[in-house]
Amino acid sequence: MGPLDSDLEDLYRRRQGAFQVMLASVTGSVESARDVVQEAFARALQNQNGFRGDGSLEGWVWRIAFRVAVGSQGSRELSLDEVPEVAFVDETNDPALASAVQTLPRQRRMAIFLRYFADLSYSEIGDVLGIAEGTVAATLSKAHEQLGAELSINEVTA
Amino acid sequence: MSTYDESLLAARFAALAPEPLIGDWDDVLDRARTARNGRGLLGRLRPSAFRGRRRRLVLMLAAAALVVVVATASALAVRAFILDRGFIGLPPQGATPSAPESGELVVLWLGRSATNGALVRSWVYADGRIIWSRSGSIPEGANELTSGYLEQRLTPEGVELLRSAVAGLFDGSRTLLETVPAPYPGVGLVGSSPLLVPPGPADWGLVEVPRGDRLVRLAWLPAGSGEQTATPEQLSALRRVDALLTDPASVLPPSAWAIREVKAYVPSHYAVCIETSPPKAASQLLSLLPARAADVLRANSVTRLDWGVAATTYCSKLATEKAREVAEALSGLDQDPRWQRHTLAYRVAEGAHNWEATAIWFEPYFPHGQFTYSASG
Repeated sequence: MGPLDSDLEDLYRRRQGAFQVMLASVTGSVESARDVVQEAFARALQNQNGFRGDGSLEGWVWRIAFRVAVGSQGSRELSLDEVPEVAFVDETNDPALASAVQTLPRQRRMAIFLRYFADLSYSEIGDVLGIAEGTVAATLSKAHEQLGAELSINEVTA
Repeated sequence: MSTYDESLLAARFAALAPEPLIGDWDDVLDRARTARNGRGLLGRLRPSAFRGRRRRLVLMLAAAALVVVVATASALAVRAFILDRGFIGLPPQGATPSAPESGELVVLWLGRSATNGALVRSWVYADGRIIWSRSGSIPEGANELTSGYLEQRLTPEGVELLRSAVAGLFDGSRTLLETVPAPYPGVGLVGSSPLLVPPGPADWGLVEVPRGDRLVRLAWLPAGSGEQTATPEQLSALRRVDALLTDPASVLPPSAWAIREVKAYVPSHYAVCIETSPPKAASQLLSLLPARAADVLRANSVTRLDWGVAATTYCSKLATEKAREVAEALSGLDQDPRWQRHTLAYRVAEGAHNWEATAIWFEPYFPHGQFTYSASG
């Protein structure tokens, strides 16, 4: 379909699991997240002209995936300045952390999820959110502080 | 926080993470391919696929509905055999073709409509014809997924209203206009310099108008994060064109209509296309067909379309009755589920993957001498 076919396939094979995990926090279930991932990569394949090379390919696919995810929830508008709400986590295994992340403001929570669920670097998070790497660092730092306050200091900080 | 802290948090988040499901790249490719065939570049999440038996049942019901239309027309002894609803594939024998056979294209639209949410294709001609299809269920539609191709007729005033609206849109986005690479008219290929619109349910599409012997295109796509979107004036012009071309019955004044009643568009010619992946020679593909079908196709010129490196499509332009001969010769083959319910398509040979299967399908030619891809969702 285009010059990025193999790159997208490689990205999919390496990272589709991380996409599912992250997007489940938007869609509310891993099943619907899987469908979003499938659709997002299909859109990326189909619309390769939309990738202009001014950021990472993965960051571009993440942005597509978030749009798909928000659309699948029935939210008809996605402001460019906003990031999707990420809220859903299965609190069974760590209710304290699950509760703590819910206290984070939207953008901090998104940055945290991208960092730990999607396993993205600061640069890649900036690419996805359209903010500078330094802003990502500042956002994550504040998120870490807040999480530390919510959780036991000894448990989270060194 | 220290590296240790991040590692600890990472471990705790890992415990919160759900277990991902197994991926399926073939499914991604199938979805992309379906989108390329018109389902929508930015198509919606699709429902579970129909099971084969259900597909066949619905096709049979659709065929039965067509028989009813034919019988009704006969019973009323109409001299011209006019179909009052869309159909899939070839028209019933004896259906009156749209006239005149040729027409001067004024404007072409393909995209998801902000007005009604449907995937809409629309062609407007200088003689007043407006031929269109839309996804979803409408009373005149061929089935619950698509209207099939339908036709109405505008007055010169109506045509001018549409023409001027598109001209206004193009004037405001001159730097984004592109010449369409022949021979890829009105299909899901977007340009390299689209108008960027706010992401939403109707954030992609294209409009084409003739300029000399080529078509000039304005395409729009959703803006990425941080990208500058279209100006309010550009968006307003786009929404105006959207409303006029995708829901003209609601927008155009009565004086714009010569014949507002909807009827099926009955083409005089069909494109009969064979597609396979990886690419093969036309002669190799024809050898896979029943002899009678291959003979008809060999007697006609073939145009090769290359959709990237992965697939090759060969298309022949046949008069409707010749296309019917080919279809009858193919009737022993299975319908190809990738096109089913949107156009007539047969599976000629299996491939290593579903998207590599060889298929032959039928697309109506439009009055300006081009065809499109009907599969849509």
